[in-house]
Amino acid sequence: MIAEGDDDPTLAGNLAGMKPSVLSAYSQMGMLMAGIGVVLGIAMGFDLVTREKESKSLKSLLAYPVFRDEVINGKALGGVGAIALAMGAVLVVSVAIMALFGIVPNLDELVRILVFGVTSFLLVFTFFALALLMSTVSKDSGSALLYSLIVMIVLSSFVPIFAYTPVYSAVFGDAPTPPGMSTYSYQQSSSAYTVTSVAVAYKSDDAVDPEALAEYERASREYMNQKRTITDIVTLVSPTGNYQTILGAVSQPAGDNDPGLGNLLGALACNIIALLAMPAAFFGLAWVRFMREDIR
Amino acid sequence: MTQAALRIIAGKEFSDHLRSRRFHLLFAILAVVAAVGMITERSSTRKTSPTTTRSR
Repeated sequence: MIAEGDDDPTLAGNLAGMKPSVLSAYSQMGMLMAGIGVVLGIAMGFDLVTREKESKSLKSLLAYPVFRDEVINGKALGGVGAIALAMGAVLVVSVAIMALFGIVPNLDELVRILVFGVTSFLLVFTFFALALLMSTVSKDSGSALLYSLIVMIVLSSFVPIFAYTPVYSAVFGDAPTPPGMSTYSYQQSSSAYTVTSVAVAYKSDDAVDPEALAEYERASREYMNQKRTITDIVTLVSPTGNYQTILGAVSQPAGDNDPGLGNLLGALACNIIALLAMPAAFFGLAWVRFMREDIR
Repeated sequence: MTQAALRIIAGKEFSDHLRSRRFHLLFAILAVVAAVGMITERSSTRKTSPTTTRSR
């Protein structure tokens, strides 16, 4: 039936030519994963060390001929293995459900699904490493959970707020106004939780000075470049932001204008490196803290 | 010796995670999320399917 649209120039014909992509399902799944995966990572790591401290079993564990680095590395490896198993099983379940519906991904889509799985694993691992760090720093599991949640909220919600236009404008100023135009802005409450900032521009009757127009273009370009740089930095600091950037790019179905997965991953190198560096940094800090810890 | 101790600790932590009720619960939620995502996408694909939109 889909092939019928090939020689139909109408919109319906164009729609008929489009193949429904399995990747849009993973895009939806990724949005949910960004919330639940974070909780999974924290839940698996927040009491790894504090539980041993509370039950006084850490002292007896270290009385055996084992080094401290083996203990922390072993705990991290066990957790990573369990996370990898869970993510792998979820991917298999999702592909199986699609196969049940008669949608079989092609090779390109399979590779993209795999990239989705690896990226989701890295997101969960980031928050697992964060919880492990908080577990080594804290005296009890409750504090470790609380600190993990605070850092998680800061990284996932507070930091990305700076990329939103109203907050950005409040901190770094408004965008330049076009010459011959005047703007005023007001805040409109669209629901109990969201406030929309509305800028209204109106044209004045004065003639536009070409120099002022050139100045406006230069200032506008500078403003946009600065905004893009700050948004990119903010996204790099937030693991959830990196995850959503990679997910958004990878889950676009391959079309005629598609740059190819290799080029796409090359363009996302900064986000991928940031997503790898953050868990490495958290685990490194947890490792150093555990090695120097005074256990009584 | 070092490898063996690391393997024992990692294996014990791994099996502890797999047997914990917390892991089972979160895994079940993840699986449900995956299933709901797939089924929702499937039903929205069927709604916007060319066979249903092509009315003349």
